[in-house]
Amino acid sequence: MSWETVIGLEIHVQLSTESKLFSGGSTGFGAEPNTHVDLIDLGLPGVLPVANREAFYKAIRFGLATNAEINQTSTFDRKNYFYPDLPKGYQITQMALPVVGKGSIKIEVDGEEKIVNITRAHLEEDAGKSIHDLFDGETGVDLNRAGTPLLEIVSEPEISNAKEAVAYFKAIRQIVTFLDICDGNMAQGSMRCDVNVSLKKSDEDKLGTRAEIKNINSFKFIEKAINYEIERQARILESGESVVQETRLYDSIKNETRSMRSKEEANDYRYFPCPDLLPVVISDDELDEIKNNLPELPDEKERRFIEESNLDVSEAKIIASSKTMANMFEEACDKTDDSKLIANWLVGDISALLNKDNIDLEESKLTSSNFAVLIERISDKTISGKIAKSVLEEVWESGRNVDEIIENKGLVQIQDESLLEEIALKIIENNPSQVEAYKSGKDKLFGFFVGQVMKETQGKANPQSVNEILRKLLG
Amino acid sequence: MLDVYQSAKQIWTNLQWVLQMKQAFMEMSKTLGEINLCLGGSSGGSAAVVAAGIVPAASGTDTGGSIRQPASLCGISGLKPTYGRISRWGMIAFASSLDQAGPMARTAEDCALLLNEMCSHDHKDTTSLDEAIPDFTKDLNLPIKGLKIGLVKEFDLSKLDNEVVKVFEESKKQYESLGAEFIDISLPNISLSVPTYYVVAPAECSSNLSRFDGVKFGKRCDDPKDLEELYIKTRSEGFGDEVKRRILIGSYVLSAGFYDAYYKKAQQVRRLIKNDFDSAFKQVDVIMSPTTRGGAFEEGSKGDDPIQMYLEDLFTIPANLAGLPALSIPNGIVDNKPIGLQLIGNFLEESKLLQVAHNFQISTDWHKRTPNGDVKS
Repeated sequence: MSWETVIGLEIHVQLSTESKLFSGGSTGFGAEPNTHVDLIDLGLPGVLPVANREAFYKAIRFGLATNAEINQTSTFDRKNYFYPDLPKGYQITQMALPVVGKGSIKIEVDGEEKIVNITRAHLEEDAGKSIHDLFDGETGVDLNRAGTPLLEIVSEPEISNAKEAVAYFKAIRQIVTFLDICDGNMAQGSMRCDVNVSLKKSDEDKLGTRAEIKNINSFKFIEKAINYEIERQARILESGESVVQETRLYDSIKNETRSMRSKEEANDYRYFPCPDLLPVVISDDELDEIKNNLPELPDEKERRFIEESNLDVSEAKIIASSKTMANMFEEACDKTDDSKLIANWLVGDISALLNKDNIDLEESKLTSSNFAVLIERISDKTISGKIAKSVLEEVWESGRNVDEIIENKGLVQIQDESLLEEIALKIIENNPSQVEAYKSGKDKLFGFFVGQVMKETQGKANPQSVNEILRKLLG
Repeated sequence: MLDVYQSAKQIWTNLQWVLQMKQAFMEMSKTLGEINLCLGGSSGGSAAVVAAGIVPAASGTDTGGSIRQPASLCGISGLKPTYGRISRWGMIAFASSLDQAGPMARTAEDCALLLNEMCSHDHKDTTSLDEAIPDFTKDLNLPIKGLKIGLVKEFDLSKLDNEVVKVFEESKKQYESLGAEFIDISLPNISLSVPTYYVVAPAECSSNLSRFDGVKFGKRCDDPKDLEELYIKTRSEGFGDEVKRRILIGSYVLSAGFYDAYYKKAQQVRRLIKNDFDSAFKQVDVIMSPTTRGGAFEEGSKGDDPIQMYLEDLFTIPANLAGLPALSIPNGIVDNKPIGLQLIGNFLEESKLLQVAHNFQISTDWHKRTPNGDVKS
């Protein structure tokens, strides 16, 4: 029997607003527990929520960037359930009328493009955190995160395998970081997702029973959890039994998913319109303002890099895919005209270092201003390309200032042609047999002389000048 | 006046009202001569302290009549303003879409003074209205000649005690002598008010009271063995029977499969009731009815049947469902127990309501009488 996999993702994106969705409490990460909590976040009796308009603006940016319907009037509902890290006993969310309706996003897997439709994107408040392992036999509650604005992006069940799911997640991450509505930091939980997986017979239209895997926060785990789940469900179906509709958790250490609660144990959330909040209405003027100030998206950047900066399609694609790298490219372009040189460094050495360390550019110690200086020093011939590589490695390790490294290590390129000629003459004098051989036709020996000059100058000689001088002297 | 309101609000936020209420009951016992009378509604404490002369005015909250009913039973004046007139910030929410704070005082004039201080647009309460706030005392003394008062056909007064009906008829005559004209109006959906209210209010209450879970503040049960027991024991011990009943009803009407039949339907009916009022106010200035079915009754005298208790709210609930301002003023004494007259006004027309009430009070002395009929100084 052949099974077809059907996957839908619910991605929770933490919006990068200063304050929370319904209070003035700070959204800063990493503070002492329960210090970013005000009366509203604590759910004290008598307090009332007030919706943060900035969160709406950010949600709408996402909607515009994914060609979605924007609901200029949207409403809030209460989702009722008891949990210690949910101070009010309900979460305020947008069930009936979300701010962002149907949209779509383009993904790419192995060079093939695919459109994934997005059902909706709605605003909701995050819960706090329960801490189970710090207090013996007791659970601690940290409410710093409670009330933080989330945009929950719900895809249609149109994703067919783990690779596509990861590509979809990456595409969403790319777009929210370009829009500057989320920092995309997965380690800090700024993006998490729930994955719905079901299998159906290839020749049937009816969807199979799904399992929902909760709260995955890395690309790798999304892929592994889905693949595990596909195998598990296939095994069940092959043996003639049926999949149980349930919520499961992914255990990354054992690489397996485990049942958390079945449909029967599932909460009845008793959704109803939140009577504390009036519908939020976004005016045409506000919407226009957001449209007019929409940041440039990856596709547009890619096009611009090809047309204006003469990059190859492949170069432009790599550079435009990351907001940090695109910024780095543009900042360096402001300093020098040599866009090709800049692209070479980003696509070549820097991408190689990123791959080696398996990190994103924003996690590295290289800043865009430091990179711009490095490019400037190559371009104004202060250092050679070869020296630049060692400077980059040093920056990569220490994050130190490029000019400081060049000066401290005395790496400034020797431009003085008379000095270089003097060194070249000495080398010719000391190596008569090589000169003889070269003159009798052993052209390859030219490299030997270049190498000797470089060795003598500790690599600081301008290679172009060395070439010219040696050709002149050797005839 | 501002200080009185602020300190009254403070009392609420500090949850010391229970204490206040007990004290008030003791004072009331001297006035009413009986201690076991139910003073009606949740702002009974405020009504009692005003009636006993402990404070000149107090704030109260009214979700289905909790300002007007105790005002009526204690022989004082009380106003529930238009929904959104007064910020709900600081008020412990019972049913958010119905809750509204308001003034309680001996006279409509004092209510107007306190209302002047209580109203404001509050950015901390998005349901608070951003409307001009008049000086509510300004029109008090304007005559009401030509005023059109609506009498609701669907309120069948024949089922009330004869004495109570007599008091109501007296008040009508009083208003006629002031130049008002009575017009019969129909509010076709008004009979659905009580069932509608007892779906909407418990639904919101069941959610609003979830925060009293023993985790962060307030009561927590002793030695729970796990989280579930913490919730169950804390809430079982902490809430009274009536609150539990409402949480159960509220959870039921919101649950999957019942939402459309109950909660959604109730909201639709609520809209119909509001529409009924809208058409009525095209014909009349205010609508008049008794505030309650009779005077204060003894605690437990209505038996164990909550439905009978709920029907006591018949006259007051519609104004909450429609978000309209309504007040109660004393208009008679039956069996040594004060009873009240309710006036319902159109959206934002508190000034007119207070004017109509004040005109009654400058021409009668019911607001000055103690339950045994004496006129107070």
